[in-house]
Amino acid sequence: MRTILVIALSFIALTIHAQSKKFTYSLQGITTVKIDTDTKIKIESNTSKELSISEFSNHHDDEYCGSCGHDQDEHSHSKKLEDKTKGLTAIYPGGKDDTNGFGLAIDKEGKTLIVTDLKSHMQRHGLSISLPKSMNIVVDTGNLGALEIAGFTSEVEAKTNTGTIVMKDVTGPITAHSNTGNITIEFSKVSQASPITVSTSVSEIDVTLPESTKANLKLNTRGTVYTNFDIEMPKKDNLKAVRGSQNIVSTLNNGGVQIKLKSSLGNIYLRRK
Amino acid sequence: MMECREIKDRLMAYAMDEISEEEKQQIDHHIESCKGCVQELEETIAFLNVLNTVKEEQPSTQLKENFEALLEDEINKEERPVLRLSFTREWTTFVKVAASILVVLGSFFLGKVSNTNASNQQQQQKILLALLENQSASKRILAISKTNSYSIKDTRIIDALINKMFVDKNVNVRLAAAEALAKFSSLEKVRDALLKALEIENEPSIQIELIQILAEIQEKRALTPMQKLLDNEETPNYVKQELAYSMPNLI
Repeated sequence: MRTILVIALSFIALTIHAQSKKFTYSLQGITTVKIDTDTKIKIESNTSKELSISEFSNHHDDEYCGSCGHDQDEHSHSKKLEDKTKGLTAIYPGGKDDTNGFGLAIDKEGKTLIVTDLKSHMQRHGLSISLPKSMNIVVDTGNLGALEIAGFTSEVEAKTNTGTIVMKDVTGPITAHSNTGNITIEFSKVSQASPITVSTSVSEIDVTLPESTKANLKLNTRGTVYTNFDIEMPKKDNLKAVRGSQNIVSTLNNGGVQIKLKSSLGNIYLRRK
Repeated sequence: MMECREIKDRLMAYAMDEISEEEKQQIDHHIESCKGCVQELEETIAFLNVLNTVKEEQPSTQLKENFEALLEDEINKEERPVLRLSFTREWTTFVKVAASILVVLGSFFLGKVSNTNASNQQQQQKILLALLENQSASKRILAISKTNSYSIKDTRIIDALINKMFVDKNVNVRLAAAEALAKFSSLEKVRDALLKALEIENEPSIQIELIQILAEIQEKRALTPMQKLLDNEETPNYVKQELAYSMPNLI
């Protein structure tokens, strides 16, 4: 009986500990949140009016960084760090930590909130961020970061260098670019407000659209386009094809918002849902 | 002597020739030396001309007879003289207010008409230029896609596109600007800008786009920056492949 009680108590203590490792910030009057970091970030939508940030928990780390040297001692390691930093404050060349030890600077510029990661990617194993469903988001994950985002009805602007971009349950407008990372986007609905643009230098683009989406499509790649939409191909005129690059201009359901997918070398997959 | 203000009050009567000879002389003398009154007099005359062009409603002759009969009755009843002077004065004030309202309305409509015609295009250009600076990348791309309908004569639009290709912080916006500029490549300015962009751009996907555009428009001067890019160790392999593919087209 006693052991059960001890286990229960320690479990509660652990949960409280986990919860305390979370930073929240009110987004009153903010319409756009801009995030600059060099690590993998995962953004989820919430129904509150605030930004909340937490670090990836351990088992997520294993999944993500695999052999990057962090072991199960992580917990005791951070305890030691707490002892070592007692009475000290972390300072960063990039700005002041506004997040209570998370190593992020927070600035306001009009209606835009700018969150800048002050720590190097060596010390990060991913950040988990939650934002209101209708908040506009601008993310730049620097050189090595990747992005995973789900459940937004707002405008999303994303840029990665080598990391992948994965978006689920989004409506656009979307503007996404990755240099060498694959981009996968699953739309729940397509906003007709303004253009959707996805581009990558060498990687693949995989986009899923609802069947009834109205759009003007522009698909451009040196790779191959695969789709299960009925795309009407413009009649071939007498011009010769230019260096085997595929440039498909067509409409879906009599046309609508501009959707442009461009990969210099990778395949494009356009799926119907 | 009458004062300037008094004279201004009598100008309407003067213009309508409804004043005494003595008063007329005084006013004549005054306006020789007063520019303000001359202007006011001119405006008054102009206004009277407008009024004269408006066709007056003619009352029936019967009405006139009835009115005159009534008037005679009234005059017989009360032998009070009619204060004609004060009557005209009130009337002129009224006309002045009406005139100023007419002037205000006139200038408003005049402005509106000229706006809808000549400035409409300018207005649209202004909106487009503002949209190019919008905070949202998607809106900026929308603005760039709208430049499609402009011609090589619209230098402000072309300059704005060149600016976007160089300084916009979003890769997709710069890419869209470069693509849009390809349409205006008959301009020397645009060709120069595309060349310059190839020299300074670091983003591989834009480098590839620029290489393709420059090869397509047969810009032979591009060979120098292309060779530089090919020799640069930092250039990614896939950009080098693109260069190796496009450069023979220019030689």
